Amino acid sequence: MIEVVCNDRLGKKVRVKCNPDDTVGDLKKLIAAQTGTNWEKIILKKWYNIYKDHITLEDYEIHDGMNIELYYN
Amino acid sequence: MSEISASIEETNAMRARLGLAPLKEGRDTSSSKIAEDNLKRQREEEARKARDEEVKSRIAKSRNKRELNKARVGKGLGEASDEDVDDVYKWTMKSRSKEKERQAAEAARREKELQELDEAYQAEYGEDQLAGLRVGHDIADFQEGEERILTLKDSTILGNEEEGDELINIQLSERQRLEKNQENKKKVKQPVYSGYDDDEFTLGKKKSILSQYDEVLGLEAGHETFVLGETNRLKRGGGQDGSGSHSVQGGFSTKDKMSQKLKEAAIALTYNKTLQAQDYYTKEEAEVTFKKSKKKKKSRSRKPDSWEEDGNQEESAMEVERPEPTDISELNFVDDEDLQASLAKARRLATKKAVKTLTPEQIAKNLAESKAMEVEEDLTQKGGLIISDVSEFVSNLSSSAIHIPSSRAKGKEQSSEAAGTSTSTSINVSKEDTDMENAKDAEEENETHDLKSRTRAESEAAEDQDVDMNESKSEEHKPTDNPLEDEPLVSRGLGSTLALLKQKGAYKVGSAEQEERARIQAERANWLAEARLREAKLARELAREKEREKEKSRDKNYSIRDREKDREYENQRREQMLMDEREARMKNYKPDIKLEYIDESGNRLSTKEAFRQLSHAFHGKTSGKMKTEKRMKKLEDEKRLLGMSSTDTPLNMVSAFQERQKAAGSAHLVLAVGNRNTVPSTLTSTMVGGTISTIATGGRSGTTSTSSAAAHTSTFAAPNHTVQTNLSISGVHAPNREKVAFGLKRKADPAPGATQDETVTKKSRNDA
Repeated sequence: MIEVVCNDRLGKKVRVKCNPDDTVGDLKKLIAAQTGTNWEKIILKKWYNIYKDHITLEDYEIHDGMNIELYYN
Repeated sequence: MSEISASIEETNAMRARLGLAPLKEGRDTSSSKIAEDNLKRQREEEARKARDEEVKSRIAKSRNKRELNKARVGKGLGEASDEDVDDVYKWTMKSRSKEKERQAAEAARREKELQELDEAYQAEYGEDQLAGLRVGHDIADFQEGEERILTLKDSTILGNEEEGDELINIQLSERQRLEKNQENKKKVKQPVYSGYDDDEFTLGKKKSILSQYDEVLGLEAGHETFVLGETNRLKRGGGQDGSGSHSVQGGFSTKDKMSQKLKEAAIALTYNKTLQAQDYYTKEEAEVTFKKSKKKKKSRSRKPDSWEEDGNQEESAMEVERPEPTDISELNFVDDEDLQASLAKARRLATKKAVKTLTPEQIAKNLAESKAMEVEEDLTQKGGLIISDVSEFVSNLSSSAIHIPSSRAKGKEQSSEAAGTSTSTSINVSKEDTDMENAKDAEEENETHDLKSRTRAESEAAEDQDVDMNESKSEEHKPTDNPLEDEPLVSRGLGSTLALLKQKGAYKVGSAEQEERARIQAERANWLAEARLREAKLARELAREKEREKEKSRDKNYSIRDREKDREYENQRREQMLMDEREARMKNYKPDIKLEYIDESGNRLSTKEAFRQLSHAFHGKTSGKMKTEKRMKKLEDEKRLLGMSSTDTPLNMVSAFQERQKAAGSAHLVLAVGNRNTVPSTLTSTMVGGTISTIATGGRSGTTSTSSAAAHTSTFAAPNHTVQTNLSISGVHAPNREKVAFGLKRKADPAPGATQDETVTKKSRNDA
């Protein structure tokens, strides 16, 4: 289990617990469940990299305690 | 800002709802654990290995020790040997025998090896092995029963590649070499130069330089050779080695060759008896049966083919039929020349004849005539003996002419009349300056006439002396006929109009600029004519070419493609030619350009005026009233000047004088009377009262005796005219005359001065 922090810098900061073999889409769903936004509207970014839904966190090398930028479209 | 976070249970609930696996407990699940395991295993492995190594090395050590110990078995150096250590003899014997044994074994081994080798070789090498080897000698060099040793010939690697191995006998080749060298030595003694340039005639291999001094070092290439075993395959069993077999083989080979040759030359005696007679020969048969008789070739290199001949004949016929196309342009330029040439010839003949047939009398006559003519000409040129009213007039002219305004003359009429009665001082005076000018004009005109006639004479080569003669005669006549030439009438034609314009000076002849222009124009005309001629020539050439092409195209062998190609080429050539032509033509092209500015009334403007016009048009303002008026006046004056008669004054004084002279029947006029040198006003009395009284004042009587003596002379009293003449002044008293003239001019100015001589005026009045 790892914990990642997602911050949209507009007043929402979510700490999500998840497995490393979860996909980015799963993470988005978890975030959506906690914040109440539609998961399809969520964009996860690190600098200019937009994380794609079907790739696991492990493969993106997202580790425990990492910060991920949270955007909406 | 607070973080939103969920506990593990909450998260797991969410995950369950979303259909995801629950969170795995523990921080690192898979990879780190595996890695740790791996590390542990690795370490264990390594440890085990190390143990094994240690054991192994220990075992090896012990084994080595054991072996070492084994080698150390036996007697040591320090220990004495047990058997006859002291017996030297025994020891040497023993060692010798040992040596012998060893050598024997070695020899036996070598023997065995050699034997084996020999056996192998012997088994393989036989007569067959030699077959195909080339021997570098003639077969005749080997005698039967003779034994020769053949060796491989020296050769380079490349040579060997090319030719293959060759066997030679050293003795034989040596002998050959010797013979050759001796021959060469003999050659040296003989003269080398044969007189023939052999090198030129020897075909094939060229001789080297000073070949007679060459020494043959080895066997030359190209010597006779034979190949071993070529024929002896058939005859096996004649198992003789060496040369004996060779000779036999050689004999066989020559026989074979002969038979081969015979076979090749054999003629079959059988023939096909059932062959039917054929109507036609094949080509080969024809060649065999009919030998073409060699025709003697004519000097003409090639006889044209039938069709070509036909064409030629046609052409010739056509040539006969149609006349040569005449070029009009060319004729225009040429035919005149022919005429000229013939004329010149005729003239030459005529002159020759004349010279031949001339008798002495005729010559004398001719001479006299020519002399007379010369005299006449001289006279005319000097004008000494010709007496005409004009010449008289001109000779008597005073250098400064008298100018008499007509009005003043009128005013003085009466006084002059009066003077006429009392005094007869009259002078024969020349006319006014205008008249003088007229006379000059006339002279000039004569000159121009002369010039014209001269040019004509130049241009017309046919007429020569006669024309000149005529011209001179006309020159003679003209001045006597009419010195004051009348203005030619415009109504008579263009020529006379031109003459009038020339006379008046409206049209100037012979200015440098005009000449230049004329020259340029002539050049241009010339150029144009040349260009036309060239064009005509070109056109003719083109037409001819086209015709030729047409003829060519009629020919059948001339394919369409060829024709097209030819045509294209022709077109290109033609274009090139045209371009060249144009360029050449333009080389001498000098256009005649003259800028002329003309104002609105059609007057020609000078550059200055033209600029003024332009400037006015540009600035939109014209010159002021005064200036315009001035200019207009000038223009008008010019116009009036042109309109004026060139032979008379504006007031027609000359004609009046002439009329008067006619009426008086005298060659002179009296312009002044009395010793006061006044001009009488009766000069123009004709206009006033129909009475003419002209009084000429003579020189002042006081100044010279002659003038005073001659001052008073006759007075003619015609019913209506009174003429008082004074002959006082003639060519004899030139200085006086001048004086008079001066005085007259001075006195002529004040009007009242004219009345001083009252006698004259009174007389004239009385007459009136």
